[in-house]
Formats: sequence, C-alpha cells, structure tokens
Amino acid sequence: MCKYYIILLLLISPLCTATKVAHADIIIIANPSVTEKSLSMDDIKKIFLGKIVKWPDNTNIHFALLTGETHKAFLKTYIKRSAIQYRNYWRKMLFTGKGIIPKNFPTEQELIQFVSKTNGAIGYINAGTKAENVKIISVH
Amino acid sequence: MKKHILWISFLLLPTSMEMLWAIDTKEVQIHGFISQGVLKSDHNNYLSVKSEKGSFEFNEAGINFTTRLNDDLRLGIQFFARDLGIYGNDNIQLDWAYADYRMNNHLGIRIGKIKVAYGLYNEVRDYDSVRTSIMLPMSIYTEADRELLSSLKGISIYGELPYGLSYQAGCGATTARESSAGDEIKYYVGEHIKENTNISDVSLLSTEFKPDFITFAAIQWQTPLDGLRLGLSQIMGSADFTFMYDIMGVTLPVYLTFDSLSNTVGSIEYMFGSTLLTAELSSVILKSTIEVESLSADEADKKNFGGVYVGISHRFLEWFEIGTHYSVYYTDFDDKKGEDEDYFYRDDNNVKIHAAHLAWEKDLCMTLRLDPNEYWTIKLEGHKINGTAFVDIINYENKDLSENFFMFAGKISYNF
Repeated sequence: MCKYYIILLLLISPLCTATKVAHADIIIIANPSVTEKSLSMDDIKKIFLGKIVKWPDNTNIHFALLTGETHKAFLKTYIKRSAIQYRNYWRKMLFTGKGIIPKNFPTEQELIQFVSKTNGAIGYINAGTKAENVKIISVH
Repeated sequence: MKKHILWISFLLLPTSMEMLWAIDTKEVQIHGFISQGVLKSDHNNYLSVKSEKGSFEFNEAGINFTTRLNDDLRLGIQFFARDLGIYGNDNIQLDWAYADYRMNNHLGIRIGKIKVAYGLYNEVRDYDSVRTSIMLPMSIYTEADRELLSSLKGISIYGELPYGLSYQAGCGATTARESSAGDEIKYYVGEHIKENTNISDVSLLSTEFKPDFITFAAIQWQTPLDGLRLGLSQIMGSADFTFMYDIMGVTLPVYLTFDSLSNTVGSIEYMFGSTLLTAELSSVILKSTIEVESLSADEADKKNFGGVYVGISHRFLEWFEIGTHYSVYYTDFDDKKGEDEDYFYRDDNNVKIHAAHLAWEKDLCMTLRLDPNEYWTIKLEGHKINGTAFVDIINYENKDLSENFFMFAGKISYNF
C-alpha cells in the first residue's frame, strides 16, 4: 500500500499551482506615523501572524491584506505559507478566541487608502503601484 | 429547546458564497462552523460510538461573537455543541468566553473561560477544518481526559519573548462537570468494589464531582531554522469524585480522588513549503486514591501512561491534501504487554475475559482532504488499529473483542 501512496505523491506533486507575482514585485508600505524605516523578514512574519501587535513606541499595529495573486506572493515570500495555510492559521486564532480575521481589501487602492489614513497601519502592494501618503518600508 | 438554538442560528445566517468570511456589523464579528461525520469499523465499537454498525453520532458545531472595545481589549464568546456516541449529545455549551487585554508584545492577559494550551492541537481539537486528519492521535489527545483538560475558568497570560520564544500559562478551576466522570471511571470504580469486597450486587446511584484547580504552562520556540517549531507544555490538576453506590441494599459513598494529574507534552513541527511534519510525545502521571466507606477496599494507585505519534501531510493542490500519522499509546508504561489482570472485559454471560491488547493502541491513519472552496472541507480517513485501549467495552456488548481492526471515518465541514 505504501508504494502506491508514494507513486501517487510523485505523480501529483508537479501539478502544484505556481504563483505569478515574484518576490521583487511586492513592497511593504506603512502609515507615515510608523517610525520604523526597515523591518526584518522575521518581524514582518510576526506582524502578519498577529504575534507582534505593537510598534517599539507602543502604538498599535494594524495590518492589512489583499486578495488574489499579490496576496499569495506576499504570503509565499514573507510568511512562508500558502493561502490555505494562512487561512487555517487565522481560523485557529479565531475559533480559540485569540484573534479576529484580519482586514482583507479587494483592491490595492482600498488598501493604500486604509494604510494612509490609519495610524500604525502596514500593508503590501505591487512595486509598480503608485501609492501616496504612505511610506515604503525596506526589508532586511 | 436549548439543543435547537444553535442549529436555528445557522439557518438564520446568510449562506451566500459571495459573502466575506463572516458577518461584520463593524462592531461584532460572527463566525462559525459545522461538521458532520461518520464512523464505521469492521470490528469493535470505537470510543463511545457504535462504529461496528456504523454511526453518524459524530458532529460538532460552533458559533462565536468577537469584538474589539479598543486596540488593546478584545471580548469574545463561543458556543459549541458536539456529539460523539454517548458524549456531548449536541448539548450546547459555552466553549470559551473571555476578555483579552494585550499590554504589549510580551504580555497579554485573558480572563474568563479559557482553552487550555497543551500540545499543538488541544486548543483546536474541536475544529475539524484547521487540521488535516479527522481524528487526532489518541496517544496525545485522548477522549477520556478531554472534558477535564479542555478549558478552565480563570486567568492566563501570554506573549512573545526574545529569541523566537512565546509562552502561555494559566490557572483556574476546571470546567468539567459530573459527566466528566466518564463511564470508564464509573465502570472501574464499580469493578474495584466488586473485586475487593467479593460482592457482585453493586449499582451506581449518583455521582458528585468537585471541580478543582488546574494549571497549565506552554512554551514554544520558533527556531532559527525557518519553519521548525519546538514546544513543551504541561498541565497539572486534581479532582474529587463522590459516588453513591448501592451495595447489597446498603447505600455507601465511594470517594475517588485524583490526588495529582500531570500531563507533559513535547512537540515538534516542521513546515517546509506545502509539507508539514509533526511529532509529539506525552507522559501522564496520575496518582489516585479510592476509599470505600465502611469496607476494607481502599486503594492508592500511581500510573504513568501516554504515547507518541509522528505525522506528515502534504498539500498537492490548493484543494487537495494527503496526510498520514502513526500513533502509539500505552495505558501503563510499566505494563506495555497488558499482563495485569485488570485488562479484562465481560462477555455476554458476564464472564471476565483477560485481553492484554486493552493495554495499548497502535494506529496507522491516512487522510485525504479536499477543499473545494474556502468554506467547505471534505475528509476521508482510514485507520488500521492494533490494540483496544480506546474500544468501548462498557456501553456496548462485545461478543468478540478483536485486537486488530479497521475503521473508516468521513467528515464534511462548513466554516463561515
């Protein structure tokens, strides 16, 4: 039985869906009130997993998500999870009372507007997207 | 009436597939889930379910309401109902309800009815859609202690620490009720009386359960190796039961005390790409005392039991995942072969039959999970089991208890 299982795994594994947006296409943006100029990959991961909720100056972090391919690329690059893994993570948080489902925005313009108007907000967009009234956070 | 409230609440909520994850009134988020499963075994009745004939007494449902009063304070409440054979019976319970105040990244406080953190999955054991398998490994997540250890009324603290560490700790009163003195406990107390008094005319009249304190602590380390997480958790507690027995027409109290119960779990999780590797090890030490008033049938006991499992799952496509785990459990580490005469069951003629395989369970599980969209989950699962530690020998007749058996589980879940 085990050998058939292994064969099934090998046949199916190449069919995984590839993400079309690459790492270099995603930039991190934040509200101008955020004093940080750069963040580590680990910090970004912790923010979007709800583990870090305050900036060093103790102001609250509000993170925003997109949908679609940009969201998948962001998750793959910075959170190291697929969309379904990320969704299940927040379901665990939700059904144990430890968190509320994060805000999802259908368009980049809506996300940019949220980030620009919300103190302590952070989000991500495509590199080519014009974004006003937000600051770009470099990633180290 | 009370049983139907939860089901009616689902009917009143919108079910359009175009809606977002939940109904957001801008102040209160409402989410929920409902799962319906089926169990069928070729031999034996598993846990408390009539699985040998096949049973649909295997479902869960929950609905929660959460809101932020401000950036630091969140309130939430979840109602839950489940049915697993004779357990639950769809009675609606308060699953959790607490206020969560986050002071900073290193310290948050929760007050109310709180889920107990131990292992990777205890807090989420009732939510089918957040894991691959239908049945969690019994070596770590046994149904027998579920009610005693699932939640507490009290306070907990949590937070992030340097070097990738995070912690949770809490204490309070167990939220278990009289029903937590499961049939297994009552059965063996009754057998203890019969064995030590040579009296067979023994029947249980009532059960009283005195809630006691439990404490838990869990620490996790997100290691420098990306995706590798290690965890260590422990629960400690005690409990008192008073059973009133009719022994040959005389009513006598029997006191069962769990003087101390400690459950320690070590966990490893490694996530790389679409693959998840997990392994956990559990060791439970239980010191108990039985006192039978007016009869010389007192006994003190200390047992060390638990188990281990390893598992792997891989998501091949967005809608398709396969997982497998192998779990080993022993009811007594000092008697892994089941040589003690306490491993017995009674046949149709009430004759005691020694069955060493009641001392362990070795379970090879394989799961196929389908996610047609973000709301629905379908799972099919097979278990090849050796050992009858979790076979129900109390509630159902066992004409021929089989050491080896196969069990099929299927489940469909909806989340919103």
